[in-house]
Amino acid sequence: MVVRDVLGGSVLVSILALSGCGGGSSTADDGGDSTAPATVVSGSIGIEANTRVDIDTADKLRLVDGYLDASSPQVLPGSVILGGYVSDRSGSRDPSDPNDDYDSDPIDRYQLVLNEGDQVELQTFYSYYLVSNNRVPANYPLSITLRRASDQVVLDSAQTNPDASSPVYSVQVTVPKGSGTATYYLDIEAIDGPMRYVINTLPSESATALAFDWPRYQFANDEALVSLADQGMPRTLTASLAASPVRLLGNNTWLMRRSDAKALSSSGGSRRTANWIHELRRQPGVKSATPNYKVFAQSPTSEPLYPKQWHYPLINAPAAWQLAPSGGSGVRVAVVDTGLFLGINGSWHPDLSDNVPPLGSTLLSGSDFVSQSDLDNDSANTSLYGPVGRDSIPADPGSAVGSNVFHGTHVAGTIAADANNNIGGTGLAFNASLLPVRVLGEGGSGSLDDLIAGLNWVASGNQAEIVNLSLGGLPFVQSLEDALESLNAKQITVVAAAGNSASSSREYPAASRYAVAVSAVDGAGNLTSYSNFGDWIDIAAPGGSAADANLDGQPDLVLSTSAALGDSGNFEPSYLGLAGTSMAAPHVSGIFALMKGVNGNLQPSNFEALLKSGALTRDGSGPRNDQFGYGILDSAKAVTAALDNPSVTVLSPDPYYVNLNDQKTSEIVTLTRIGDLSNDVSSCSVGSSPAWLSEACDRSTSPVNVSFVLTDPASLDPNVPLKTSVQITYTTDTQRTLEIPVSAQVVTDAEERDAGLHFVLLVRTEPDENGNYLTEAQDSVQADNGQYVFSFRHYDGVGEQEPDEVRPGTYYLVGGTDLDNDGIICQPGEACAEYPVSGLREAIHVDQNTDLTSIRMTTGFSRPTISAATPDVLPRPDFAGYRLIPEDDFVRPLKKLSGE
Amino acid sequence: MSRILRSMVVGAATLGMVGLAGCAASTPDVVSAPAKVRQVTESSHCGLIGPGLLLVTSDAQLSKYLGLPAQNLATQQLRNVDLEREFLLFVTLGKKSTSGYGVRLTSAEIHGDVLDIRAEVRSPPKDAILAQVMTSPCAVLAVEPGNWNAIRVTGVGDSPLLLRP
Repeated sequence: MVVRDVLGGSVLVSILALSGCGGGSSTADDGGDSTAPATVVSGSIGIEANTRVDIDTADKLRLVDGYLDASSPQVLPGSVILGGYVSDRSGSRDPSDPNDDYDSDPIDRYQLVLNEGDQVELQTFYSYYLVSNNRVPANYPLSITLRRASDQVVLDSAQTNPDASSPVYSVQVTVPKGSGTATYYLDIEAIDGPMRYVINTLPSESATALAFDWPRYQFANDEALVSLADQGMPRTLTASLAASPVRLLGNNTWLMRRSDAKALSSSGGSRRTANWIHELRRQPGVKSATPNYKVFAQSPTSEPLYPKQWHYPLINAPAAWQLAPSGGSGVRVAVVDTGLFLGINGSWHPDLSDNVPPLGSTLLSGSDFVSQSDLDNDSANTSLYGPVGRDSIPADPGSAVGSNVFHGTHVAGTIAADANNNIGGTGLAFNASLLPVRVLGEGGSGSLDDLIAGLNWVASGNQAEIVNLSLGGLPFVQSLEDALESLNAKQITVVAAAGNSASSSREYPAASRYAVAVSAVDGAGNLTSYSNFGDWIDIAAPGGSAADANLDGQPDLVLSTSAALGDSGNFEPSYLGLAGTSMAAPHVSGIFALMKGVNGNLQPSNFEALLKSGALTRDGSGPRNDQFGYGILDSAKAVTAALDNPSVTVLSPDPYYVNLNDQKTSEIVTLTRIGDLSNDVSSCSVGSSPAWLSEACDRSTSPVNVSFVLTDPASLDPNVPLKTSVQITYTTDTQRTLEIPVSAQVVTDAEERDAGLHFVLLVRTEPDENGNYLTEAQDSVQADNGQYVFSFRHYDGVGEQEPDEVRPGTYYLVGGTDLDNDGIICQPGEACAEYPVSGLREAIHVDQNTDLTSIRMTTGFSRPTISAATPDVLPRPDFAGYRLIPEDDFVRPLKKLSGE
Repeated sequence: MSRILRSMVVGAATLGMVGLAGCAASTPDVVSAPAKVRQVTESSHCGLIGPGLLLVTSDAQLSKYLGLPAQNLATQQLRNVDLEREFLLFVTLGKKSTSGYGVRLTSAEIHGDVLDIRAEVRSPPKDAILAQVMTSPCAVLAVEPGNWNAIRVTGVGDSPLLLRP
């Protein structure tokens, strides 16, 4: 019998050795006619970047009788995803199973270099066996401690918590500010029983906060604003520096102009003016001299918080704003929600106030529908918020206990925050009117009768063209359906949040035939973990999540207007990132308002027809699916579809952002004309960019494209994320600009990647009664040069079947780790690979003629998500992993380590 | 800083707040006594997505937890707590899928060497209409050190939450 070496590099030797061994098959050596069992399935498994594995996982410990020298910290790269195992005791999960025993490994210590502000996240995972047998420990299972290596001082620590209904938790430790870059120890300590875990490092904010360009504000040539110490004008200014006062601006500040300006050259004015101002500042009696900066009309992208509103480029909003520069002016959107923040001075949130009717306006008459005294918090200040019960002040008083996030204010900000005030962020339809209709009270809760009354009020008075409902949680209710139908009959379009139950169950009002149901995607365009889905979803939009799916170093929360308790003890206007389908719906409402702003004839039936035709969603969305409905919102396409005769021509980029790395050092962004197609692109240029990036615009292609190239990947610091934003200036009907975010990271650990001892399996395509896929054939391999090499041979039924021999049949090809030695691979916290793509496994048929010998797969601790790129990935709510062949089924051990 | 509180802070730092395996090893005669615990604030958006207890004993720790994403706590009220005299205990419900959830302190007593805190969870009525926003409710308590060496919080789940600072 042949004992195969598990080292990938030894596979070939092992297979060749078969010809000299007995085995079950006849071989040339024993005079038979047949040859050695043929290799029918083989290939390699690559490993995701930065992947590492704990050196003393349970499966390894079992192979070496529980002893591995782990006295020295395991050295890790600064950017890492590591799978590990700890247990404060040895034992057996199932006494009837001799193969799932585990050894004691109470603490794992790692050493790595981190920067101040860096975070390390710990996620813990139970064995499915414990969960299914209701044996999840009662106490905190794991702790993580961050120590400075130089003196072992503890800088931060945290622990994860148990919950049998949801056995996955994460905590973070952070390198304190002021710590600089140094070597640290991370201790992962077991508290109660065996646990799998994954740690990963998160980039610090400082890695993305650097500026790459000189300030480039524009100012008037030969002019300056000069503040004087005294009222008299110093003679030196007017004499030697030829500065003539033009106008007193107050407080001894003058607008000055060079009296000799006409005699000066018309070129080099900016530098000359800067030098002149420098001289002005040196004159006695001058307190300050500054350029007379040019002030431009603000655009949405000029708002200070716009760079943090990743959710707008994701839906191609900047192009839409060029097509609809009026910003939805003349369109009114009813935000049926918690009302809006009203300051103690009686003013709406300053980033909304220009778009909201003032208090006392007849438009607001009767707009606060919260009627129940236990839900209405108006009692907090009745002179400000109105009496308890229904009234005409749709203000959000905040919660009676604790604080809240002013949900309606947040939703309203996404729809129509001001884009022209140079404060905060922007809304999508920044000139649309907001009509707050208050139906939710204390804690963001409301009653059905108040909601219906509010909807009927909007319908009866034709108060708005669009209604946003970022609320839900209801089954089908006929009276609610009737209210929605009334809105529809009045040609009022209703947009509603799909709900956050991660369920396909219909939730109303979103599931109503009279509402547009909006599911939520994260920064990478993936369906969020919480979003509802199903055949009733119409469209998807950014809802955000606390994770960083777009890899910009920040959580993907939707940023909008809010309020918070200030030092005064009163609520004050603020901005906050939130996640939920509540945040996705107003993206659709805002774009519908932009569309209605350019085409007032659009009715609900028009929106529905455009939606179903694919005119509102990204190209390539394909047919309707349950995650995204008709696709992810594309604002520019939507506005173009609304324009009868577009008079402007803008370029829409695809993709909307560029992500480069050492494997993908270039990317082509196509710029498709939308709007008035009679205008060609007569010029195209690219603005400045950091040295690591080069770009070029090519007008010779159709559509025009821009290439982005990582100039010298070898010169970049490995594993450090970089990002910038590149401005493209082009001329169609007029000169326009477009910004494309670019991020890049060079990863240099290809040969060092290790996801742990891998079992590669051919498993049956239907699970057993316990949800496990039973294994037909099994290979076990270690990482070699950053990959695993595996092979399976055909079993012809003669002699004893080797573990890597497969009978003819149909199987899934999978691989993964068993870090906690419970006999199951691919559980959460364990690496996993599936053929051809993880999450999209396909059955393969194997017989003696099969020749699948160049298979390539990828393994890692992360899991595929349901995304725009992989819409076919399906949820696996009952998936319990792939079960290894019990060792007793074979005479020899299946798992073997070499080089330990 | 009192001697008792100092020992708790050190314990939290050096043990990494991991002494959670159970009640105190030595339990003297159980005697009930009032405990000095007060609720400072509560919020539906604490940014702490794991259910459980979190002890904060220093300004540096507090600053970190006041800077979490999606967090909207009454910052000034928390900063006004003198961490030399009291420490802060975050009682968190974890991630919830809608508005309408909350947690608050109802009582606190010392039983033997255990500080017993009773909390009450608020859930939305079944027929309520709810804002579809992800929330992370918590209550933040200020706790004066006393002659106990473990904290037990009941009322926020099926089983008590136990923390030995």
